[in-house]
Amino acid sequence: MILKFGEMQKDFGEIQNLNQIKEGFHIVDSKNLYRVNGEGELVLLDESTWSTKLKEGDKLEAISEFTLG
Amino acid sequence: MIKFSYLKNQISNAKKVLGKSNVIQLKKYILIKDIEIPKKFGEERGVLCLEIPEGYGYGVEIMNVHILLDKNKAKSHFHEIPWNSMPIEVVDEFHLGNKIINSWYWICFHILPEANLQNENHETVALTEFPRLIYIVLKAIADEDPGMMGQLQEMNQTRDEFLNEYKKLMNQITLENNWKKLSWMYS
Repeated sequence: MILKFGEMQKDFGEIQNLNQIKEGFHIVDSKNLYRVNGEGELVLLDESTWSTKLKEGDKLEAISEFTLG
Repeated sequence: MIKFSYLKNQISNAKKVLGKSNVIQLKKYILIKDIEIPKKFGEERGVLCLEIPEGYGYGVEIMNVHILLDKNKAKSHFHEIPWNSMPIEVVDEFHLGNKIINSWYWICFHILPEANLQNENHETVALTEFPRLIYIVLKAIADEDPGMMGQLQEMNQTRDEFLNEYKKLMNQITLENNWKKLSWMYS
């Protein structure tokens, strides 16, 4: 599967887990991965749902985890 | 004490990514204009005001953030800050039209420790990430995400307490840094 992150584009072949993507794009493990959908919105990719949400050619973003308070 | 070389680098990078005229460095604040917001919050784009904390560049994360939104669309979720309570250096950047249509709303971010990019260079979350962090919050509100609603409610309830603690922390960092400077001068 081909994915884009920033200026980078990479063919991951068959993806097993999210860490594989993070390693491939040199993203620190602690950041959350999001896919940018057709309307430009961010959709969180988590361990249980990433395989159904992720599509060929998706643009990804990595955002720090946070709480409000 | 703020590490100005780090701040300068962050500003320079933010200008490259977000547009030169969209990132404005003030004395104690950074304005980021023209940020994307979900439609629920109005057709116009938003403005962020980030408070530069003491210790920025030495591992202290930005926490206090204000967002300028359409005043009719954001009231129920955030603590509203009147224009006359905002720092004058921030207010001076806006026209009368902005002041009539929009209001400032307070948001306090806590970047989770494990997500903190601290290393020997004291890197913190990049300025360019803040428009995205805000977008995630606003989108969660638009989607009525119960987890985010709960956090916002608690954030607003504990605001005074947090601001007192924050002030103490900033004073403590200033004192520590002054002490370090003094010991360096006399040793």
